[in-house]
Amino acid sequence: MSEHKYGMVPSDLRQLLGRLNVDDDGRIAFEGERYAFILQKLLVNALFIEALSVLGVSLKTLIRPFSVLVGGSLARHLIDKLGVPPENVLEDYAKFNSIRGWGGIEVVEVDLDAPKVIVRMRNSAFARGVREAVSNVKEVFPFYDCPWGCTFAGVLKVALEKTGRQVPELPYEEVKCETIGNECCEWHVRREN
Amino acid sequence: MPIEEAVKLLSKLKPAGEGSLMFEEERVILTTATFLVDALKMLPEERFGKISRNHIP
Repeated sequence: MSEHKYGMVPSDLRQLLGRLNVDDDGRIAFEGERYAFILQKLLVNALFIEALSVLGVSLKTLIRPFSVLVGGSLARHLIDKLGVPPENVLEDYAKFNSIRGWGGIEVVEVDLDAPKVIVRMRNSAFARGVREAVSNVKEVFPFYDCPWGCTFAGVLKVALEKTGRQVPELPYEEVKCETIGNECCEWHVRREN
Repeated sequence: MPIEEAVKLLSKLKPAGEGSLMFEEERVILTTATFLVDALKMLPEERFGKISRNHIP
C-alpha cells in the first residue's frame, strides 16, 4: 500500500502553516525538510544585489546550475514525500512556490514528450526586490534576467526521469522579464532542436 | 522557542495576493534551508565570512 498523500500539497497559506512543525529551538520543518522565512529585502535587495555587484555576469554561471538543482531537489521531495505524480509535479511545484511568497506562478504549457515547459510569474519577489534596490536595472546590470525560471529546468528533468523518459540538455530562456518592465516574467525551457 | 511564541509569529503571516506573503509590513519568503545556505555560500567569503547550516536558526 502506498503511503503517498497526493492532494496533500498545501493549496493555501492556512494549510501550509498548519503543517509546519516548529521545534523547541525554533527550527521550522515541512514534511521532514527544514525551512526558513527570510525577508525579501534581505535575500533579494541586499544579498542578491551584492552578489550581482561583486560577481557580475559570472553570477549566471553559478546561479543557473544551482537553480536547476534547487528545482530538482524540491520536485523530488514533492514526488517522493508527498506522492505527487511526476506528470503533475510542474504544476504542483508552481503552486507550492506561489504559496511560499516567491510570486504568482502559472504553468502555461507542459509537454513531457517534447519536452518543454512554459512558465509565467507575476509579482515576483526577485523582480520587486531588484527594482526596489536598483532604479536603472538595464544600465547597472545589462545582463540581468530573473533567476527563478531556471528552477523549472530542474523540475522538468526530474519529471522526465521519474516517468522513464530520456533527460536531454534543457536550455532555459527568459522571454519576458518583470524586472525590466514586462507585465510578468516568462520562461521557456525546452530541448534544443 | 516556546511553541506559543512560534504560533504567535506564524499567525502574523498574511497572504497579500498573487504569490506574495507578508509579515507585518515586510514581504517574506519561505524557503528551504538548503536553498538559503547554498545561496549564501555564493557570497564572497572575505566579505561575509564562512556560511554554514549552523547559521540558520
